[in-house]
Amino acid sequence: MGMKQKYKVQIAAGISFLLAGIALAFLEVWPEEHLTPFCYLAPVGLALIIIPLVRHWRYGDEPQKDERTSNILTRGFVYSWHLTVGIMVALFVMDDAGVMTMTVQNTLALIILVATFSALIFQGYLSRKEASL
Amino acid sequence: MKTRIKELRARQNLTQADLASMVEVRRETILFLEKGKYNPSLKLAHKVAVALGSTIDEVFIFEEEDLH
Repeated sequence: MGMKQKYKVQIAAGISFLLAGIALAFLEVWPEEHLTPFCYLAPVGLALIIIPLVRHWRYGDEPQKDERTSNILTRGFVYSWHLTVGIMVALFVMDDAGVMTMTVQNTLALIILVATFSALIFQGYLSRKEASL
Repeated sequence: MKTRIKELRARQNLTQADLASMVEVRRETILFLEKGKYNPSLKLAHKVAVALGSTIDEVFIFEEEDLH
């Protein structure tokens, strides 16, 4: 089973990012902190290598998505958006009432985590349940 | 919603993967369609019916409770 051209391009880009990170670290472009370029580029490179490999192993020649999976993705994002707004409203009310006060950084971190993980959880749940619209 | 996809697919000796490939969807989508757990778009319903050499109303059977 041959690998899709799209995956090959992504893997090639990932290897380039990884090698660029390693090269920049050794070239000491950032003399004060040698690992800085590596720290930024290596995760991107690894993601670009691992994600297409996993998709190839999981889906093979099958389409990566179709109308059912697109519906599930959309519905997952919609539910996640509602939950996130609900939590933001609750945080606002609690802060206004003096029940709980959070720093801006903590609030943003919480919102990012809730928005990201709730979307993944809703999508996982919907894909196991069904997707009748 | 009930479907006759499994029966019509068997008549033509098609696997779920074969049918999925013919209508350009994932195999799990065919599985959900066969179980009646996914209401496809009109476009997908048409593609499935054509792939099975049939018509939409012969493949997908709506009952009274499905319409409410």
